[in-house]
Amino acid sequence: MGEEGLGKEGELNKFMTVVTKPDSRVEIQADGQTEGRDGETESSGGLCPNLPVNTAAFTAAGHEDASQTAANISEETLHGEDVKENRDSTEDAESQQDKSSQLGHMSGQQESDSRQVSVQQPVCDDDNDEEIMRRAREEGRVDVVFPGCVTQDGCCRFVCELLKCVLYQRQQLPMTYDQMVFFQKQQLATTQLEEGAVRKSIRPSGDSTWQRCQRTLRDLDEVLGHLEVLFSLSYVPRVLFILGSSGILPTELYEINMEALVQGGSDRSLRTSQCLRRLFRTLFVADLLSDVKPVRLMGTTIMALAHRDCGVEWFKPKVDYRVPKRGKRQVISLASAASGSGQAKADARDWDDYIWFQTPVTIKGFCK
Amino acid sequence: MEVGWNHHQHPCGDGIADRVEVHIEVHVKSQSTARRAEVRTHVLALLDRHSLVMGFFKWTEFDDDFLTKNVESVAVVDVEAQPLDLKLSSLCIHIFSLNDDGPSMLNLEEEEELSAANHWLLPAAEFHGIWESLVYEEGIKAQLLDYVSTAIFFSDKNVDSNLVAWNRVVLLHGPPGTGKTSLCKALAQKLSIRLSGRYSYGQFVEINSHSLFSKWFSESGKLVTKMFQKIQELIDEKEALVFVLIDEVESLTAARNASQAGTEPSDAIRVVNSVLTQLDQIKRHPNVVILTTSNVTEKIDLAFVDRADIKQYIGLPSAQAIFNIYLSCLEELMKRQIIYPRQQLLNLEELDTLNYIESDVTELSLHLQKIAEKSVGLSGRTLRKIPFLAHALYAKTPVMTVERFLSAMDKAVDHQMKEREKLVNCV
Repeated sequence: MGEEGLGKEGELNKFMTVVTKPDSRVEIQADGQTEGRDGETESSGGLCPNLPVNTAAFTAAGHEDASQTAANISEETLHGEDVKENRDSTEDAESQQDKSSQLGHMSGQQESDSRQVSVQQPVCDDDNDEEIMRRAREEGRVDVVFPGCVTQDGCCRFVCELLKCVLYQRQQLPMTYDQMVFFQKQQLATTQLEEGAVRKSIRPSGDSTWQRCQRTLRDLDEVLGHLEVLFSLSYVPRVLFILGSSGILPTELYEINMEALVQGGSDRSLRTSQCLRRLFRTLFVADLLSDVKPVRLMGTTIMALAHRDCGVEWFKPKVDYRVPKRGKRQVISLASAASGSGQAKADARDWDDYIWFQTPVTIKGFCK
Repeated sequence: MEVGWNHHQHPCGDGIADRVEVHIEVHVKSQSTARRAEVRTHVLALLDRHSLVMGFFKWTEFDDDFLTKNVESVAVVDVEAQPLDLKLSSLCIHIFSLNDDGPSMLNLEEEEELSAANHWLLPAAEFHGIWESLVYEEGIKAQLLDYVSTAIFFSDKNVDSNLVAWNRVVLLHGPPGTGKTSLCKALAQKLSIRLSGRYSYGQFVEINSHSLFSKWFSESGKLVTKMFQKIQELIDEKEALVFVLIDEVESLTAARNASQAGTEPSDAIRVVNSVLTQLDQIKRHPNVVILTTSNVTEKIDLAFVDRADIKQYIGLPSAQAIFNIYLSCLEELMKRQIIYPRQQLLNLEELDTLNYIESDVTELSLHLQKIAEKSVGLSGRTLRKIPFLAHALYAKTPVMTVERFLSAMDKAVDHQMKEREKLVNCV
């Protein structure tokens, strides 16, 4: 991987940075599990050692670079934690044997976690990476298997992070979402500081670019916010990102299929940050989103399959919508490893009650 | 939606052939998520309660909470203006909701900014109400509808086209401003509603014919091919009924013999050839209808005219049609309270039953009829402008009575006629 890869890793790390906080709550709740969960992180780090090492190194260098002068203190602290976390996991990677013996001493409650570890192991194999790449290349499909159930909240975060990632990697945003938010804040801060001075000169490269940037961000934020609402109202098994001028004849279509995910309560589910890490690792291995050719700027529409009576208001229901079969179609399928954890399987639902909902806004791509 | 094939050859009720077929269009609100089957049950119950209608009728208010919440309107459409008992006829219920996204562009080349075609998903909100607003001689609209639905029906039944020849190319021709393009759009909208049981959605592609000519010599033919490849992609979706509109078709199919005289560049011949062969290509698919319009028929290549099955002349409206057009204009202005107070105007059938005898009741309608007779020769587009001109030029007050508005319209028509004469004299 060249510079592109560097960008990715930095991005990945940022996703995790964001997730760190809410998850600490889970750890406190299930105190006994903390150790076991840590063990699991270690194992994932240990089995694919190159990724976290890179990540740690890149974050240290790449991030200072990106945020330049204006990195504020809170961000730095968050970063410090993250780097530390990664370093820990790499250190542990060297003593993988130790850890597995550690797992042997676990209490009954932790057994499920150890089983999850065993489920995880084959996924990080080199053969498996090749298989992932082959599938992505030939079938346009990436399968991500989580070793347990996830929360509904987690599903929403997967979709939101994937959306940000797709927009950036498909060249509809000039930089990552978080960088854009950061730059916008910075811009607003300078504008406010020099209030009273000549306003026009402060604005960066022309008003229209600035306005388009703000508009794209506003639209994207709106979509992300309403996706959260939708996820809180209904079970959402499938989400489509449609890039191109129309929903019927899209240029590119990305489907996030979560039908095989088993959802559970927050106390019995995997940590979202870990799942995100797994998800993006697989995605980068599969190399599904990169393209050597420059991609044209297009509009992005999001469709989500949800219950017809969920009462969501912002989205437009499309009762007769059918997923187009033409054009470039790629599927990111998320699943829970068959664990028989007593959760109701998703396929027991009445699919007839699920209809497509479309976002009323399209996120227009822009470049600098 | 749930109704199968609805065509007169194939009654959709319980198979009793002598029953009259009545089409009911149910417009579901776009925010509704109700099951179509449930909507259908409630609509049938509604029709059962109010089974006697006088010709065209539209419900917009309901005594049923479910319908109020989910349905915009229920309309009995395309029937003769006579009493009708719905219980004695077989009902074809078409349930649809409108797509309110505007047109999207189809681009031929990645970097090309100019779009080669506009693309709508049918039924489109933009096309709603056009069908009702178009007024033609008795039967033209119904005939066209039957023509096209028969053509689609034949294709659907896999009739061997070597034995029975037909195609799905429609050519509408006639003077400008008579609503040819609008009729194409309305026809597509209507058919996509009518055939919603057979096809899950309709698509409407309006080709910008000028975008198919390249600045590079000999590239135009290829652009046409590219365009049709795009359309082919749409057709490949078997669930979709695709309408392709080529407006002002003479620009694409200008007579090739003109080029033999040396007045037409040879690149243009290639375009004609390309269009003709491509049309033959896509014609084979059962789910495509090609709609074309032109107002200079004599310039169109004969080979193209020959390919069009349905060649309908759309002429200037007759006095009767003009009367109906004016009537709909006045209705709208009364609804918006620009003409106030509201007064009932009689339609032609009612005037006919009263034998056109002048009385208090018929006075206004007869005045309107006189204006209509005077307006013969104006195009539909101009006619729809007359009420606006009347208000702009001859209204003294923003809100006026029907009587005063009619005399203003009278003057506006005179004015329009004079203008036209002047134009003709100048030429």
